[in-house]
Amino acid sequence: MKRKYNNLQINIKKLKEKSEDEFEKFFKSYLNRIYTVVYRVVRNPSTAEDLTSEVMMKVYNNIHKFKEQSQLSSWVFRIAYNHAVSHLRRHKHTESIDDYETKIKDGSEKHLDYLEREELSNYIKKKIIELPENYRVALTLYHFKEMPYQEIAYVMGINMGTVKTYIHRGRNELKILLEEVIGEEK
Amino acid sequence: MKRDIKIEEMLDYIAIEEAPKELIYKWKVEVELQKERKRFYVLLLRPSIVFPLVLSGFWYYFAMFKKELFEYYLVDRLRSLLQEISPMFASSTSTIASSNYYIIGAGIFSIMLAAISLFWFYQGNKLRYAEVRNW
Repeated sequence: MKRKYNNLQINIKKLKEKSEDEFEKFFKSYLNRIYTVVYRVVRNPSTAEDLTSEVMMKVYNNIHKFKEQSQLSSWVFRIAYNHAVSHLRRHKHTESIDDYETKIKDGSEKHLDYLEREELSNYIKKKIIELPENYRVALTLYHFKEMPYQEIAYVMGINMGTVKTYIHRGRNELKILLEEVIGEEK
Repeated sequence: MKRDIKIEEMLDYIAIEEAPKELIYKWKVEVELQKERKRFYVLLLRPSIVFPLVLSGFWYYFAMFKKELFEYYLVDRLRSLLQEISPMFASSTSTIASSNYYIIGAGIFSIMLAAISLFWFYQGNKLRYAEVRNW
């Protein structure tokens, strides 16, 4: 059975046969998104890297459990999300977002009017990180483009109504956080 | 002065973070390590688990052998049979088996083999969980 992912043909049968080439193709295409899901939960790049590696191994070792009732990508994001959340629960008091703070070059030293697009995007990323976990994950998944509410609900293990609420509230909170740089939306 | 930026556009723009590309390479190596661990388990650890069982089998066999030896002696069957096959083997086996040190010797031998097999198992486990941490 073949499905399209970003113009990429992924053969699930081959994945289940543990074809490494097929896995590599899939991971090359979805690595950034898997990493993003994990990253937006744990907020620490080095932890996110480690967890992404673990998620990739988990996917590789458990692909036979994929029942094909959802998109393969959603199934993988669900694993990534659950793995990151359980890591966060285990290390609630030890994690810090210092790494993130150093990674993102804060443009706030300059006057915000002069921020370039790249700096501005970094600034917004930093603000997203300040949102509550559920809001930022729902917003992130929503902006992966191809993810419908139903798939986001599946990934986060909540119902569709809650997903819509999270996205709506997340967007509103973000607007408040970005008040000083962003004008009224048309 | 505030910028006229649509949040939606900005969120689309920053939706996906850039992951380090070496994660793919790391995954490939991890898969190879996992395969290696499995091979190692099949080739080394599994036999080492079986080893003490085989050993106790031998122990039982020899114990029974010694018990029955006397019965064979009574009818003089074993001696004649073994002497036909190999006089040296027969005499040395029967000497060892009938000696008073047989049980002590066999016990020491068994303990030694068990210690070796445990060491083997321990070393195997240590190697099994050894991982390449520095990339």
